[in-house]
Formats: sequence, structure tokens, C-alpha cells
Amino acid sequence: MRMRWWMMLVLAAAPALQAADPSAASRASVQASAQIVDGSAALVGAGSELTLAAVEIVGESAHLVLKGAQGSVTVSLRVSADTARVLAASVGVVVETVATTAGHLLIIGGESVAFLLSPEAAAHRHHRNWP
Amino acid sequence: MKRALLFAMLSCIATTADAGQDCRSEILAPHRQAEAAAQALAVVERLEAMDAPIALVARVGTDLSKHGLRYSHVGFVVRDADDGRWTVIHLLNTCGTDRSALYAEGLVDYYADARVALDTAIVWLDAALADELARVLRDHAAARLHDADYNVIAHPRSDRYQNSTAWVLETLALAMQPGAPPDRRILQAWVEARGHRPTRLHIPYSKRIAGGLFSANAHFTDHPLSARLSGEYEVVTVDSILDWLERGDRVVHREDLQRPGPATR
Repeated sequence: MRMRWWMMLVLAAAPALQAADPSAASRASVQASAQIVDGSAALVGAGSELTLAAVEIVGESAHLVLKGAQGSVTVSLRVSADTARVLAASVGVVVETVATTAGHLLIIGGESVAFLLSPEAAAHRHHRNWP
Repeated sequence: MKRALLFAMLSCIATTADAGQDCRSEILAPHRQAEAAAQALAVVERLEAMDAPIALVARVGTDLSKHGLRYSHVGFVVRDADDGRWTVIHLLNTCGTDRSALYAEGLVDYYADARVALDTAIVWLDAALADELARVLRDHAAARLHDADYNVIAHPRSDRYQNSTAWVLETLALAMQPGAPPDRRILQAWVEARGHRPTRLHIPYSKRIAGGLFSANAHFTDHPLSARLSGEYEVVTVDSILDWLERGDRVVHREDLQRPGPATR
């Protein structure tokens, strides 16, 4: 079957793809960790006895107040809608902390809800336009 | 009837090609944040063990395995730049649009944006090239090579578009010729004459039409018509850059750190 002129035009005009991305590319803004905005990071250590004392959620932002025997710490993070629902229903619940290579995971009801970078890893978090 | 159909098809192309893609904000799951940060610290450990001011770091932002490629993106990681102990300087597409910008960011941020896997390659260059690279980044000569008109499939000799790998290749060429002007066309001709061989990607019609007809960041018009008809496109890739550097004896050491990422679980 001969290809009609208009078929050729459409095929040549079709820039095409997704099939190849040789350069990575698309950047959505990523949230690389939660941050302690008030209180001592020393309260959040592996095996710490912490309770989720309060939760404030505004849009995709959440502030968690965690209370331990030595005081309290406030953690700020971005959350998905699903995580926000879990947090809102978890006030008064025990928060587990699990140490990882680069910080601590905060776990509520078996689900990890936040990651806190260690100071060593936090030194490698920065992002700006260059130059 | 045919003309009406053609008009309708081309109108559809024109409308949606301009639309671009949403710049959605992604909230990384905590375990992914932890893994990205762990990979960043592993890379820092390797970088600290080598006495070099700069290295190349490649990551897997897109799955190119169907093209036989592992790494999709590469940047320069610089010791003691303005922002921290180690800073990655690289070009990123702006949220699927036809624009790009240069960024300086930490290694935690760099690996948090690795969408497919956290595998990485660290490549150290010979001392003379490393020193010159550090210089062209420090004095911002490399920034003058940046063209914000982005094309994910930019032709290696395109002076109309640029992607992230092309910027890295052209910056390497600038550093290899101290005193050369930051002129993209001259540098592109120079790397070709010095044996850089772009990767040839085969993208069949079916994939192109079904997969990306409406991508704002893909412009095939700077490839020859023969390439568009055959589906064989030449592009600068991480593999083509590293192959060229290795053949030219400019690589002194390479380490590949494997770490499963989001797509592998």
C-alpha cells in the first residue's frame, strides 16, 4: 500500500516520545526530609519513648509535637493526604523511632510517617539555581 | 474529507504540544528519603577517600533499559563549593516543559530525585582535567554554555536545543581546551572530531506516536528527516560521554554503587 502524502506529513510532524529520556530531566520539587523546628534533636533517638502529643495539618504541611520524658520536640514535614489522615487519628499514640544510616524513621501504628536526617546527612541538603 | 482529517490531527498536535506537563510536587515516602540519604552518604564517603576537587556522578532518573542504558543523567560534584562540602552542579528540565535551568544542590537532594533506582556511578578524571573543570565551574564559564531551550532528545550538534548530558559534554570540552571560547558549535565540532560517538536510540513509530506525541520537552525537528523516518536518533548519553572519556584515557577511577530504588520494590 502506498503511503499518502498526508500520512507522511503527520508521521514526520509527530515529534514523538517518552520512549527516550537520555538526560533524566523532569524535576518535581521533592521533599527530602522532615525537620525539627523546635526542641532538641537528641530527644529523637533510636528507642526513644515518644508520644504524639499534638498534630497540626495545613494543606500538605504537618507539625507534630512529640513528647518524651526529657521534654518535647516539634517536627515539620510535608505529608500526603493518606498520611495526614493517619496522623490526625493518632494523637496520644506511641511513636517508634528506628535508626537508619542517615537519620531516624518515625513510625506510628507500623507505618513510617517521617524521616529525620542526621546532622551529618543534613549537611548535604541544599538546592538553588546556579550560578 | 482527507484535508479535514489532516487539519483536525495537526490542530490537535499544535494545541497539546504547547501545554507541557504539570509540575507536580512529589512527596517522597519516608523510607525513600532514608534510602536516598544513605546513598548520598555512601557517595560522600567515596568522594572523601579520593584527593580530587571534582568528579562526575551519574544517576538513574529514567528507565532506559530498553535502549540498553543504565544511567540517564549526570552532573559534576564539586568539593568545597559555596553551598557545602560537596555540591552537584547540573542541568535539569523544568517540569516537563521546553525549558531548563542549572542547579547547585547537595547529594541528598540529588539522589532524592532519582526516580527509578538509586544506583550511581562516580567517575574521577585525570588531575589536569579535574583542575580545569573545577576552574570553568568556579569562574562560571560553564554557565555560558547553557541554553535554556530544552530538548530531551537534542541532537549532539544542535545549537537550538540542549539537554543535561549535552551540557556536561560541552563543559568537558571547554575544560579540555584552556582558553577556548564558550561557543557551543565550536565545542560540539571539537568533541566529534576527537572521537565522541553519540548513542543511537531506536524509537519506532508506534512508540513515538503512542508514547510522546504531545511531549513539550521533545523536539525532533533538529534531527534530520532521515532520522525521523528511520526512527534512529543520535543523542549524547551518559554512556557516550563515559565511553569517550575512557577511550581518551581521561578516567582515573570509576565506582558503581548499586542500591535498589523505588521502581524495584
